[in-house]
Amino acid sequence: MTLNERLFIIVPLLSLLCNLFLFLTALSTKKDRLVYAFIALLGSFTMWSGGSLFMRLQLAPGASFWYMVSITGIFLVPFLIYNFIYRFTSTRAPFSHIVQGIIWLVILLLNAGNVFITDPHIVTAGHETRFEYGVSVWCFIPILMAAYTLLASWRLAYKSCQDGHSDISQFTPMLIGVGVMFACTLSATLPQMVSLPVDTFSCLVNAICLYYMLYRRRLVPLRSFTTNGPVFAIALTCATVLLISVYRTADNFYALYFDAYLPYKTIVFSVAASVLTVFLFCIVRRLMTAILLKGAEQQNEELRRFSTDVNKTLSLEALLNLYRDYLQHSMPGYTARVFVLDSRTGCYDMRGATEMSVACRDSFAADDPLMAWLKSRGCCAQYAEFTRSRHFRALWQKEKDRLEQMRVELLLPIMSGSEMTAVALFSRQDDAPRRALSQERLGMLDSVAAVLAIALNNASLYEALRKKAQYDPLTGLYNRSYFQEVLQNDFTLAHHAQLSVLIISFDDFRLYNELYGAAEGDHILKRFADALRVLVGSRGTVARYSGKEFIVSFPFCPPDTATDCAEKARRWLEREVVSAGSGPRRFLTFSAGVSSYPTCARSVEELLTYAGMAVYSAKNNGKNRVCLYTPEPEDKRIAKSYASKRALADSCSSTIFALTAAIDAKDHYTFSHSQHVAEYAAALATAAGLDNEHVEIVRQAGLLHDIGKIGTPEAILSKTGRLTAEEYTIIKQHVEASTAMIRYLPSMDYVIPSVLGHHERWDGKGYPRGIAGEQIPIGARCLCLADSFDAMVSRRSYKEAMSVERALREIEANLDTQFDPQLGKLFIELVRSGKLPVHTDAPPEP
Amino acid sequence: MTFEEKLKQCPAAEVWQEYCGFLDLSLPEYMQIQKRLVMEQVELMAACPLGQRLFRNGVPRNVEEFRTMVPLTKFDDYADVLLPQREEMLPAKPVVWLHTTWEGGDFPSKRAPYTESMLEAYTRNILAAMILSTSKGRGQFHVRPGARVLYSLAPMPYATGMFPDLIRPQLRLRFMPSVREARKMSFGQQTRLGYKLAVKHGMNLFFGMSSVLYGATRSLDSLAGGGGGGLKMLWGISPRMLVRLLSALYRCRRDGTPLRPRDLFKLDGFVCVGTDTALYKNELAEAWGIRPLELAGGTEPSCMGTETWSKNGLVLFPDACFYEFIPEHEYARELEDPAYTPRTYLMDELVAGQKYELVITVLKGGAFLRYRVGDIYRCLRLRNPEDGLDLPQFEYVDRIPSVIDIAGFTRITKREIEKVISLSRLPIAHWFAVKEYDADGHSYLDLYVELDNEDAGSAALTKQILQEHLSIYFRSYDGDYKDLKRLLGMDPLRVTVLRTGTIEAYTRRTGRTVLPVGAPREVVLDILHLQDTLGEGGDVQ
Repeated sequence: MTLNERLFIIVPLLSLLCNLFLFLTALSTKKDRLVYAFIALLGSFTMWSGGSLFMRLQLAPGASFWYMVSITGIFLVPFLIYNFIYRFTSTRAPFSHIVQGIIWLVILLLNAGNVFITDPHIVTAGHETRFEYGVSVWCFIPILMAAYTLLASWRLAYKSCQDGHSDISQFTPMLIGVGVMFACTLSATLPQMVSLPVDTFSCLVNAICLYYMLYRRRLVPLRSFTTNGPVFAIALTCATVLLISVYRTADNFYALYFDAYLPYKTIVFSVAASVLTVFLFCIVRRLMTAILLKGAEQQNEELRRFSTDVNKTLSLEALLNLYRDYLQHSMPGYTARVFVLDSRTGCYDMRGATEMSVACRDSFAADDPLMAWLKSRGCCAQYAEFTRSRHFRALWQKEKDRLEQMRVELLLPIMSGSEMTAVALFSRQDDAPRRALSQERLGMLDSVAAVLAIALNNASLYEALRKKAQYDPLTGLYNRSYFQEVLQNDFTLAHHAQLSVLIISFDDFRLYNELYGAAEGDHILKRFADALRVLVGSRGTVARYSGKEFIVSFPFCPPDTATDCAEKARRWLEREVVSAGSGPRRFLTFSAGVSSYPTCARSVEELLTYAGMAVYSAKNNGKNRVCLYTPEPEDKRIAKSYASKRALADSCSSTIFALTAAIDAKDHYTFSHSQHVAEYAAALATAAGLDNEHVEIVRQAGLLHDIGKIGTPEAILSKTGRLTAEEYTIIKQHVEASTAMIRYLPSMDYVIPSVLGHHERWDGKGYPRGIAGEQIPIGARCLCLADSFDAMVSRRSYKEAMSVERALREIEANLDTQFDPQLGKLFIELVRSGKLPVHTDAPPEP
Repeated sequence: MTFEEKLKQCPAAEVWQEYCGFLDLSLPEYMQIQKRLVMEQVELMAACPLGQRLFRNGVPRNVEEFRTMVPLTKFDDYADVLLPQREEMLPAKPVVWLHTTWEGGDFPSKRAPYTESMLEAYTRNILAAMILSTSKGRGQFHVRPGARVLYSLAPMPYATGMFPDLIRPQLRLRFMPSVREARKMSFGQQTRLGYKLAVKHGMNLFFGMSSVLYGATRSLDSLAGGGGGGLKMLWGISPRMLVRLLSALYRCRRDGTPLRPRDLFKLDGFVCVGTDTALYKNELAEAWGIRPLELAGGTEPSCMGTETWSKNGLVLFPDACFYEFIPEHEYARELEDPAYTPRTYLMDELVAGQKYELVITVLKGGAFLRYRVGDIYRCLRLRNPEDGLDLPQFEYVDRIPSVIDIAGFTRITKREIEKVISLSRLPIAHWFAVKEYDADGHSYLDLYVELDNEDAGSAALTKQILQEHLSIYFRSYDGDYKDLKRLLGMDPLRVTVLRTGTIEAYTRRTGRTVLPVGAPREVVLDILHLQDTLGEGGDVQ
């Protein structure tokens, strides 16, 4: 066989296989009209190449048949190219399309009748077999028609580019294919080329070019090569070729060694062929996957790993680090800068870059046109596209220069719903190759961005909740619970140095609220918080400690710093609130207390307690001042405190008297009852070893413990019969009523714990809180005994007075249930020993 | 990537979007761009001595403060910086200085610095105008590299002279005559040679001043070297143009009609600039077979507005200047009371049909802040649903009443007329001047004069003598005025002699003084009626 003969078999065979392969590949993709048009075109190429090959090989049913297949394929090509472009450009010209189709159908029918090409026959000269044919005068009709159809195709493509629907570069592969086809067709007329299979070669080139064209439009992905159809076609072809080449050897081998099994030869060979085909199918499939899907699988793996990693964390920093690592790995040659939305300012602040040398101090303003454009676009975009947008016109020159300096090429918005939570800007590194990113890579960036967006959203929600839990919503300062964490940290840090704590408490703030309204109160708290934050600056941490209290931690600062800050805050308050404006003069002051480590406190708890005590001291000493806590001897402190409480009680005695007298008007038992209870409880407290200050508190609590009865209906107070459940509920409310009234007595709130707990029981069955045992303040336990005893030995409207002894027995019986057993025994002893004089309405016991 | 590369490599939709995408802006989006860019200008100005001088009330922090704190300005406020070209005083380094003559002002010319950013915007906007001139609808345009352009605009250092320099690096166009040749010629020579070349080789685009275009259209034969040119004209003519010319001449002879430009040329785009464009537009469209696209601009504001594909109203570019508008009643009040400061309004506060004086702040490092250009525009409509525009459209009306603009060539003011009268030493006691239009649509200056009592009866001082005398002095005093006669062949001055005492009588009767320049039409009519009722001594009969 000569070289030419071999070429005439090899080239059409290659072309046939390639077209067949593409044909099967296209069949396995998602089909639409365009893909169908492509399949039809591949079909015509296959007919052309296959017909030509089989005609040469003179396979059955004969050369004439294969000639007809081949020539039909050739005649179909112009119209099918037109049809392909028609679909590719989405043109709407059905009339022209149908008319051309009909004309070509007629031409095909005429061709079947050998109107254009006459007398096709095989000529054998020596070893060479040639196919010869004649041309009729009517041949110019299909030639002109082909030229017209191809020009019409070109016109469609050109018009589509002109109208902006397509880009001329999209048609480049097709132009190359058609160019090769023309070149081959023309060269076939040259005597030197007559003996070469240039026509089928052009089929091969055309098919590949068109496939590339569709691939670029993402209509036929590379992965479709790895589907079963094409892979099986390759395996079958290889198995067939292999079998043909080794058939004789295998046949001889079988005859030599398996002579006995000669009748089974066909079955053995068939099974062997099948096994070989399956084996080759597996190998080819694995190879194709490795070659074509390696990149895609790698990308999928990266995406999967990234998704898994980001789902494991709620930390913004960790997420950004993961994203940075991903970009470093998957975008070599590019520097990425990641900007994250700060929900408070609305700005996009740079939070990371894939290059260590890039400084992270950049930011985009909330109204930056680039950000607005990216948000409206919502997916990956080239910077050049932005420069063409109308948003670009709104950029300042320095903003343009900055982007130019960054050499931004690619922009990636990270969208969470309609909100753009972050933006990644990619710039090409100097040494990176000037190669455009593939569509797959861009798609992958969008996919990763989508995963990141969800994670960022979760992280920001978590961050917001965490911040919400740390901040006071009104002032924006840290709240009490978070401050305690901060203080603990400061204490740990300043363990070998100093730490000062300042507590600021507004004086008579409730009064201020009532005078000027709660809104004004909130306003001044907010302004004061802002001012205090500025005054403290970076020296410490400010928090809102309670409704009217602020607290500041000054690590590594002496108490003077805190005192100085408090004084400045006082001056600010004086300037901004008291002396400000032309309206009525408003009064608002604060008392502040300072404590410091290690001079006066040894722990965080002590710092807080002592600072609180200093505030208390400042309030007791006339308010509107700053007190520094200084440790004093305990007895001196107690004596001082007792004196102050006593003085306070004396100053309030007229108020207390007036209140109890008011009760007397409703329930005259109560007046003397309060006096008696105060007396008994104070005696019991003294006997129990409480200090003078505490005894004074108990005494005052005794005087005030029933003042809440002023709000109890007289009918219930003086009812002689048994109280109904409803009435009992009402009378139980006098405890809360008493505490509510005491809160209005100036600076006597220290009696509240005793008053509030005087109806609690040792076994926890009392009211209002149902606390038990030593949870009940000792003052309240004293009051409980004194109150019960006096109630028993006094005459009431609903009962006669009980004898003292009986009352004591009653107490004795209820020790461990109603009364504190220790105190109860002590009280009984006090009465029985006569140390506690008893006021009783009961007749003396016989 | 140059404009030409974009035309070749990018889809047409992308090119349209880049250059004409501003037409898709909504009014709020437009205002957002304006307000953003004016704050850039404020920042630049605050850092330069000129800006600090204008920001004497403090640096504005937002647009509202800018409009209240910065006074309205005129060229006088910048003259000491711009005329000596003191670059160190400016907000950004200029790369080119443009000039314009201003004989009527306090200074002989005006100068405006252009920064690199301004030129960038200027280029984009002029290319947008070129695209729009060839467009027949949104996104449909036909600009081709290598197109032949007849360029009939004032040369450098006038603002229109920048067009070729800006376009050439972006798009390969064949200017007729070439830019290098044109620079060696006078404006008149350039126009005549351009026409000759156009007739020989054809043309695709035409940039020209409306008044010059109009004049050229009416005398195409003479400009094209026709008339007796005959065979000489045919020498070197391209076969395509020869066929067109011969067939056009045949048709004209057959129908007995004059040769019109539309018979010879098939223009892709037709751009015109200058005052009085509105007057000529219909006739130009009829003559050329394509409606001209009008541009708005000037030395100070650069190219600031263009019409769209429907050629029916100007849209102002959002990134050329920040625009404010003084309504008619406000500037009229200022004319009566010069101490009054008129209020300005923004683009989103306009009323359709209302006339406004334009106030601009040149963006991107320009020198002018809240500058009164002296142009009056009418807001035609606030949006144009037919064209799918959500932006106001304007038409150029005229210069402000105190300036008489003749055919876009010269701007005559009270100061100039006073100067000419004093130079002429004619015994003119009172005068006032108004702008009028003749039957051909040409504008002219109508000067109403009253002679001194003792000369009023002199037969020697006829209207004709006065006119010739004043014309001579106008021509010698104002170079642009001289060009009017030379280029357009028109005499822009007419003198009307009033009976002595008429103006005083009018003032006595109505209590209103007659504005020396730009008196309303009804005042002129009242004066003419009053003149008929006056006796010899100026008494009312």
